[in-house]
Order: sequence, then C-alpha cells, then structure tokens
Amino acid sequence: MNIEGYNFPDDLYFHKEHTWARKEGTIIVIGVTDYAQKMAGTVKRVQTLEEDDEVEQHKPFGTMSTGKWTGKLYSPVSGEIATVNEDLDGEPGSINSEPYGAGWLIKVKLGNEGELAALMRVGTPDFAAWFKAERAKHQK
Amino acid sequence: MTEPLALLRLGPLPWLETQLVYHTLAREHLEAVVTCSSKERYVCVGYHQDLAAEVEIDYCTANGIGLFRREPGGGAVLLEPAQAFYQVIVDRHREGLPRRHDLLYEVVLQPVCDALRSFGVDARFAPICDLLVGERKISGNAGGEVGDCRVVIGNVLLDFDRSLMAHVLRCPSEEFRRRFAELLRQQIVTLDELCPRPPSLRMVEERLSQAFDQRLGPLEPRVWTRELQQRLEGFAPEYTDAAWLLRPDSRRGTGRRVKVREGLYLCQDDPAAPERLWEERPPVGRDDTTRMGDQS
Repeated sequence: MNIEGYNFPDDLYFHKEHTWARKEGTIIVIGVTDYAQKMAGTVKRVQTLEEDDEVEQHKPFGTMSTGKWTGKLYSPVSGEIATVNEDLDGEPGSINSEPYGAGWLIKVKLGNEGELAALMRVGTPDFAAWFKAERAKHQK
Repeated sequence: MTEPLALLRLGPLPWLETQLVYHTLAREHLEAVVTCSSKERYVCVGYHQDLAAEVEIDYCTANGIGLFRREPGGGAVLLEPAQAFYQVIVDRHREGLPRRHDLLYEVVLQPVCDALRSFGVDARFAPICDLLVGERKISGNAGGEVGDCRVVIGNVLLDFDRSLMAHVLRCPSEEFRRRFAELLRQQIVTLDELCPRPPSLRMVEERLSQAFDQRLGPLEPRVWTRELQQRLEGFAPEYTDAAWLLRPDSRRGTGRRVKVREGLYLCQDDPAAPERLWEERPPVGRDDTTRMGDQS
C-alpha cells in the first residue's frame, strides 16, 4: 500500500521503530521500511549482529550510518540469526533502492510466533495511528 | 511537560574522559548539555570507520596522540586543547526536538551559531552539520544513538594544527598529504584567526552554555558527581578495548577519499599513481561515493 508516497507492503509486519518482518516458513526476513530509508537519506554503512547470534524483539540488532549519523536497528522479533545480507557490506545503497527486496538485513529463525501478533499490519487502526504520529514527529 | 536538560560545565578534562562523559550520560539515560575541552590532543574516529585505514596509527603512537572510536557517526578528527567541545544528550523520543537527524542538527547547532556571533563571527549552519564562516568551516559535528539517547557532539575551533591533522590521517602518498594540508588551510578557519582579541576557552564555554540555555533551556546546572565518575570508569574498558578500537571495516578499498569539509573531498584511486588525485564536490546529501575508504 502506498501511503503519502511511502510504500508499506500488505504482506509484511511492521515494528514501530521502522523495521519490517516477512514470514517465510520458519524464517523471518527483516529490513528497514521505505519510510525510514527516505527519512534517513543515503545509507553509507550498515552493521548487524552475526549468524548464530540471538536477537531480541524490540532490542537493537545493528546500526546504520547515513551521512553523519549512526542510528540503531531494532528487531521486530526474537530468534537466532540464520543469515546476514553480506551484499550490503559493499553496496548498502540497496537499502535505499530496494528496502523490501535486495536491501533486506538479516534472516532470523523465529523463536516465538506469538511475537508477530505484537507487530502492526497495514490497514489496521494501530498502523494508521502510528503512521500519523510518526509523520507529525518528522515534520516538526 | 519534558524534564529540563542538565547543564554540565566540565572545563578541561583528560582526553579520554571528554569522550566517555557523553557515552556515560547516554547509557545512563541522563539528558544533558555538556561543555568541556581536552587537556591533550587525540584522534577520534566514527563508529563505522576502520581506524587502521583512516589513521596513521604508528605516527600517533610515537607522538603520544590518543586514539578513540566513538559510537556516533562521522569521520576521523584531530581533537586538541584549543577546541571547545559541546555534547547534547537527549532521550530518543524527547518531545520538542525533530526526529529527523538533519533537522535535529539544525536545532542543536543554532546555539553554537549564536555563541560564535556573540564574538562578532558571522557563523551559519550548513547542512548536514557544518558551521561555516563564509565558506570556511569553524566547527565539526557528528551524531548518533547511544543507549536510548540521541547524541550530537561537536567542537568550536579556537586554533587548529592543520599540519598535524594532515599527518595523523592516513594518506596514500605524500602528494596527497600536501594537497590535503593545503585544502585544510583554505577551508578551515579558527576563532584566533577571526577575532582581533581572541576569546579564551573559558569564555567560549561560557557563551556556549548561555546560548544552549536560551535555545534548549532553561537548563539545570549540575556537577559531575563521584557516582557518575564511577560509572564512567566502569564503561572505560569497553571503549578502550583493542577489539573495539581496531574493528575492521569490511568495505575497505584500495583508494582513499578524505573529507575536508561538507561537500569537499580529496580523492585518489591508485596509491601507485599519486598524480591521479582529484577534488570531489558532491551536492550535499549526495556524498555517497562508496568505491573508496570514505571518511565522511
């Protein structure tokens, strides 16, 4: 779904800290939203925890540098990292160009499927309220 | 109603503490504006940088120049006693401050412009986070998230050893180093050079405190307590650990791209061909060339 020029695919789960999760069997693919990459600007570096490391829902699992700012990446789910997108080491620009495709960050072996219920889906009142609040904060 | 920010006027500190202070405050979730300076010179690199690729480590070690990797982003800088530091630490979601970091820089650096203008220096904010006088840089700034806080850190140059800066940063050739030093002389300016009666560090710190109080305050003056010092000492091993300091960058390339100021880079793509040296002036916000070791 396109909302005010920002793409939020219907099949994803969204975390309030601007990361997304896509369920592929027992694996959860994680990345940053189109909105986040547009607000942040050109991504220059990304660094995440490594394969076999544990991530925890709502906790940082990496950092992303854009211009002269280094921000944290928050995990939408808990679990063990199965794969890290090593293509981003050399070309993090795909986070900007394909945030829901080649710009994915990590794949996690889902530990607790119930955690997905705590995330937002496009088209729900929770999502609409969150997006409105975020827009207000970013437009100040 | 948001809680007022603390004001910590710390004056000259041992070099390592000038970095550990704001890391400690952020990780302890203590919102504050800090002013301080370093008793010694040192080199500080940004979170994602590769120290060995950016800095002449042997030169620094031989000359007693400390080395530090900070959590905020930005590039390698030479920090010296003739620089007034300011550090702003706020909760990630603090009300009244822009969420976008480019807008946050603009808000947080306005007081620094005010302080400089109080000395008759016509400083202006230049995106993303430079302060310029004319077209020359007088202040360096960086930011990022530390703990659950957002941090903006920067300095006002009272004086600056450009020659030393050109020696501490890794250069692929002596010609590159010479050109880099020349660009630093052209593109950087200091309070000592601009003011007929240059202000003291103490005076700059005073004006910075007043300006931050007016723009982000009222601030609550506080002292650096023994408890805070103990917490700082508790964090020190983490930030001085060799694995943290020397962490490599997987993106290290064979060329070199060194930032002089926002929008101006000195570049060389082949160490064996020092004549192939050029200046690059990408539009601000588009400085995303990634083929070489990037220092921005």
